[in-house]
Amino acid sequence: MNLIKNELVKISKKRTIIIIITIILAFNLAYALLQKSSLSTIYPETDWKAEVNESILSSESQLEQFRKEHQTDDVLNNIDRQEKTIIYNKFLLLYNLNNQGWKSEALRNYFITEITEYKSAGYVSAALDPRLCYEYYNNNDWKSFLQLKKQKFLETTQFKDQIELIDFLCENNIEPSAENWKYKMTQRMIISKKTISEARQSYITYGLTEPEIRTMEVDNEIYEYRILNNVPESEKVSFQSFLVSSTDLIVIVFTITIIIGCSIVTSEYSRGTIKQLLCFPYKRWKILLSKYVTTFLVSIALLIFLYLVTIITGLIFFGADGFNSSQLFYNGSKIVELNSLLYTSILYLIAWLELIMITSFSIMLSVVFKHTAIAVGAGVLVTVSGEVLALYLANIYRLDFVKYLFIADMNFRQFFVNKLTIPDLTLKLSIIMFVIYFIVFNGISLYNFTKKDIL
Amino acid sequence: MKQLIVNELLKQFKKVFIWIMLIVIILSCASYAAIVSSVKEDKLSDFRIEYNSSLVNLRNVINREGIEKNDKYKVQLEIEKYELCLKENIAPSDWRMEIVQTVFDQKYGRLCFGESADNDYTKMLMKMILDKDWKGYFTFEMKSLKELQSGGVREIFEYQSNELKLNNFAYILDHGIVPDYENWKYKLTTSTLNNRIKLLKHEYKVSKADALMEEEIIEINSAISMDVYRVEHDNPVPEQKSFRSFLRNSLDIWYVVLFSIVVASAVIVTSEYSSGTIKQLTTFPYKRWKILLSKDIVVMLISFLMTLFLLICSFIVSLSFFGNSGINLPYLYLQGGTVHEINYIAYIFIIGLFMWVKILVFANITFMLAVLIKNAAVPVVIGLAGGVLGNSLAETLITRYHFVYAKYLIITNLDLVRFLEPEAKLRSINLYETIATIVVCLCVTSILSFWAFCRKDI
Repeated sequence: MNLIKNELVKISKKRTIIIIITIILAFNLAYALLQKSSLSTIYPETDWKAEVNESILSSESQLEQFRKEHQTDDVLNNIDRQEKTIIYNKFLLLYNLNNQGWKSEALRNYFITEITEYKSAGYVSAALDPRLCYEYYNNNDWKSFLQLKKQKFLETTQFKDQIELIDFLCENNIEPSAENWKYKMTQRMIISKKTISEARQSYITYGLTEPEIRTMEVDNEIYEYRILNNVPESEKVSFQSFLVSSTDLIVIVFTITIIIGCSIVTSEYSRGTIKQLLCFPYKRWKILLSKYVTTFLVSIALLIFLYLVTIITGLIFFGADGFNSSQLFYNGSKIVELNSLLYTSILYLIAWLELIMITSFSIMLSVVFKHTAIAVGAGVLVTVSGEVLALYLANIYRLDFVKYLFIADMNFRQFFVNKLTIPDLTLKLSIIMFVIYFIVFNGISLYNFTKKDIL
Repeated sequence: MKQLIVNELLKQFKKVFIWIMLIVIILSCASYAAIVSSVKEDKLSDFRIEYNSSLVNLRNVINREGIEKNDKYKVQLEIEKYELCLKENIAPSDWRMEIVQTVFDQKYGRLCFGESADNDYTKMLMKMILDKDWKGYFTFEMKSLKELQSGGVREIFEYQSNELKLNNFAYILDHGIVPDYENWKYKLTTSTLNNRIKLLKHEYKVSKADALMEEEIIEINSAISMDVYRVEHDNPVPEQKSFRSFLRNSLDIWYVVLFSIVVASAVIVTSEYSSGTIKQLTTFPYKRWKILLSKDIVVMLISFLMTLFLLICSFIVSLSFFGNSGINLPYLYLQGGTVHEINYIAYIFIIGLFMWVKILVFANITFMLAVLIKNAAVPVVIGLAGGVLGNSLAETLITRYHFVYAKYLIITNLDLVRFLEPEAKLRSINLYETIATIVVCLCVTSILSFWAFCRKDI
């Protein structure tokens, strides 16, 4: 107990505490400012009025061209078509109808009766019945309109995804209007499902790797959950998204703790105070243990400090709305909804477990080599690239032994949050390997510390 | 001066650390090669299983009661189609699949209008399928396309895309490219055709989904010119398990070099302080800046030697694992829209040089920080984190946060390799600005460290 107190006092005496606090505060502020300045949303809205206007202009210019030409049947047809397009677009502007929704589609069929050629089927089929379309538009009856469309699609085999989209919309009572976020999300989901199924057929890969396909699948499940349970996705940066994304800043705590953990051991060697320390009436392992406990205490304190600072900056920059909002994640088998504060706390806890693993690894190196630079460097390398390396080796090169490496086992996040996981690695195995590695690393450093001669 | 440098070099080579890192380089190179060569290629999923399962489904459907007449025709034809594919061994990616599709669509259309399923057209196509007569099929397709073109196609987009298809057919027939998906030339010509049609669709605004971003247009254009060049000059894309691609990929091990150089450059300064030898060193009859300069030069030398060592090591490993196939084929890169050639070995050495510059910058930063704060840990952390994360950090700053001044950060400018890539990222940066930023960074860090070392009390 005395030893731990002693170590703590040693650390806090230095100017380091002030430096650490300013570093964390500065990074937090910079991160919040960056997030605040990035106002671009993930899926930007297109300005449909500008599009409609542009289409009117281009139709008018084409009309002029056609009128100059020799008046054959083809040209007359084209003139007729362009005139109808202009009327249709002006109608949209007049009644303020977004050109993405079903109403505009129905009207397009009413104004411009297109003759669509389904070439592969070998026969020609007319477009949707214009009178019915207009009737549905007047009655606001989107379900019947979709059924009409579905009948058309059923005639050929090409539009499986469109039929799927229509079925999904009808089943879940989602109106296909442009303002409806559910409709947009469903569209995204169906497109991505189509891409996945095409990529799975291995002759069209789009350059997608297996992990990327799996990420897309999980995204689709989250979309489906959102649509079915009526949980809209916040597209702008809010308090909640800032809180979740600020877990990236934990890396700073990692590096600080690694530096403290390594220098707490090696500074005794380099300043020669190790000899005085060993003259104390304590056993050697107790001395090292006190250093460990101090490092872990410091890491907990730093994490809590970072968490509090993040909440405060989040509140200042993004306001308190969304304070109680929930976060969706995929836990390996299903989608789970959690309060975002609780969710981030879990992330911090998992990060702490990873942190004590990396710290014991680098303390081991520092005891063995008596060298701060190597130990710190190795620790930082593992922090920065260990997870990526493990995922890469396991998923791209399909190596089986990766699941027994500590860079794979220390990362508990993959069981709760991450979409990508290391195949065949279960939570149980991960915990067992984690404990084994923890004992091995600390055993080596204890052994080295107690047995080595100190010159 | 010379003595000082020799002295420092000897000190460095006496350290176990450097030798361990050299061994680590050899080991990681060899194990990387072993991993790559042991990976099994993705097998094409067996289409026969899929066909058989569809057949079972279809047969269940046709035995159901109350099925409509037209639907029955359709299912019947589907069954015939799958049986034919199974018999003739036609995979979904086979060129004959297209003809099979046309034949059975035709048959279905005729049956629906109450005519007999076969006519001259379908019989001719069936014969082509059975004879595997791709030349005949392509000439026939060309002929019918030409007739269509001269008959007057209404839409300008359709006319242009038919023209492209005609050119493609002519090219394939002229050069005798077998339309097999195993054949890389056929693959590249088809993807070129598809890319060109994509551009056409964008140009004539066929539909909203076909609108392309500016970035995408540049990417597609560069892909087209690259693929055309590859087919014409007989230079295939290197496969994953080949000498060329492994040699390039194995240079990723430069992280090991980065680690050792960053650690060494932090230690070369701070070890003098911590072991107290700095006092002896400064009592030598040399000027202080000369002492620091010798250390700086030694860091440069060691990093150069280690990079060279990595290059030679990966060269030997890839030769011994993958043989020397494709060693004479040049590397292709795009500059200003045209394709340039460069000898592959020269290319690898240029990449090595770029890596050395990158390592040098981080070594210099670490060196400066080590001199300034007389502590090894913090400079190592900054040097390593900058080296590993810097590039992706810079990309996020620019693409996601639109941070304007990121252009002048050193981390954005270190990825010199991108000037030799087929498709360049972060196009806003040009070569001269990059070189200027790197030179400025090196000068500033060196001047700062010299100034601090000469001024500081020991």
